[in-house]
Amino acid sequence: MSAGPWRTSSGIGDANIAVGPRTIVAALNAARKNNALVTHPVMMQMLGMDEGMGPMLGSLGVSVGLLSFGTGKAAAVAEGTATTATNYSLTNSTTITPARLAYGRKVSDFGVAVQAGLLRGELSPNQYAMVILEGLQVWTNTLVDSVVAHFANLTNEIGTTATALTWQAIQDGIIDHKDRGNTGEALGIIDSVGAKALMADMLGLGGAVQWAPQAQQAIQSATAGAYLGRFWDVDFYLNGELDDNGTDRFGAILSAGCIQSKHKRVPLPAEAIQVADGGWYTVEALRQGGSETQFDIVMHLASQIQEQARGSMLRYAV
Amino acid sequence: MATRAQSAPQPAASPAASVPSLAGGLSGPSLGSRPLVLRPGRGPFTWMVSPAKLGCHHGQIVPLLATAWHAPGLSGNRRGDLGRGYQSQLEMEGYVAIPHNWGADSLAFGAPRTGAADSTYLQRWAGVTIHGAPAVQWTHAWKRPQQLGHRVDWMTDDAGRIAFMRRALIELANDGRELSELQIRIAVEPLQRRIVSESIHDSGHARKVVRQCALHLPREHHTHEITAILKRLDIVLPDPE
Repeated sequence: MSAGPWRTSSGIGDANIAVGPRTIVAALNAARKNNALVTHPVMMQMLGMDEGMGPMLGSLGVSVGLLSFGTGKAAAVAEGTATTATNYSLTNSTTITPARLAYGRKVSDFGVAVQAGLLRGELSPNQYAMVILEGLQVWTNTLVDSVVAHFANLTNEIGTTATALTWQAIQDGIIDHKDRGNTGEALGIIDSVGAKALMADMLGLGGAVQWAPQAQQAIQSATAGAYLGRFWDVDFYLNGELDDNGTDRFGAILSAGCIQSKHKRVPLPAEAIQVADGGWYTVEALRQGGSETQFDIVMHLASQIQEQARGSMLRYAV
Repeated sequence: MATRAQSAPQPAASPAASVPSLAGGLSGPSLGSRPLVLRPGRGPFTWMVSPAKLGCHHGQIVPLLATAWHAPGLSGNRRGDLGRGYQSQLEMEGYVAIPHNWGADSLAFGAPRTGAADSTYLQRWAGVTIHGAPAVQWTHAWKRPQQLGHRVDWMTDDAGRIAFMRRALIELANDGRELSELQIRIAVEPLQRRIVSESIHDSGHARKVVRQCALHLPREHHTHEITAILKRLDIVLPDPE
């Protein structure tokens, strides 16, 4: 039996199928590449800021004030002359409002597709665990999608329209990124098209006795899943969520503070049948019309570009 | 029959509406054809054009459009505001929204967008996800799916899209004025710099990229230095169309 989709349009009566699978394993899922991203320091900083802003009591949205200071230079002022004070410059980012986002699974569908336990009574704990784990993955996918949605609107660009990505373009772009004052950890996100072009270019750089350092790093990282390597101190990851406009695809290099997220935690009330409160998301068992139980994975999430100077778009041919 | 090609289905038409019940459709097993397999994205969006975000494509100066998603939660959007929050943020950066009823006489795949259901530049596609659940995908109007079995390829009408984008740049962002010297510089200088930068490498990939950039850069902006680089790298460009 092929690893088909876990879905059916049949009812529970169809659960007694003539030939059942001997065992069930989780199918390979390209979305797991998202998991590699969320633990990167840049993403962790974003979530730390998110959490640090608190529960948004009494407000629908939040903005961040960007305070410009430390940019001035002292000027000559004669003794006995008053110094003209420079006002602080505070710019508020756009106010973002977390939106309710949800993903559902029906128990009847679960029974038909996964079966184990259903015909013997209650759902077993590991089946609840599967729903909770799926909640974490759905939240991760949603968060990453929400972040990459802004890449096409980053003002600073690396690469040119309808042209392949190259190491030279990345190198020039990273220097520009540093030139704007960015320091510390940086996160690079590209898709497989960009990664192939970049790696082909890197290997073309060659080396006298051994590979050029960036090529060596790329080769060493070949088995590291979505992680491609650390080039010029930017951690590059492969990702499948990136947008394109038919001509260009939009990746990015992000430093901490480029993207802002805000979750609104909405705890489940006492009467709800809570399966899990994952903090960023909840899982609730709902008894709906037609005597069907559904697991609802729910989160409240918003995101925006907080500061353009802290990020660079990677624009390259699809 | 299950793997026959579906070439460019007509937009916005429901495949289930006009075929026998066992011959197709989105809600059940199909004996006659496969429903269009889609990758649902973030939903509709509004294109934004800026007089200062420019690039070059196939020898023409084009605006590099921003995408104001309508999805709630993204950059100032609230539920039901049709992306107004995201648009406001981009307007602060100098972008102008392209209205969804603007440019209806523009051509996409050779046909005008007059009477398009949702937008003159957006297209709504209905089908199923790879897991079989009903799905809707929004694209711009110059992108169209072609399905062969489970495989979906997206065709693009680049010439039509670029004509629409250039018209939006002149009429909406430039108030009808032709491009200024500064705008031309903004568009061509990054490409000129990249050709010089890439040309220091002696690899096949670098030559490929130099050639791509040189094809995008309008010929009147090929400087003496660029002409010399193309000659040194033995890159011959086709005559401009």
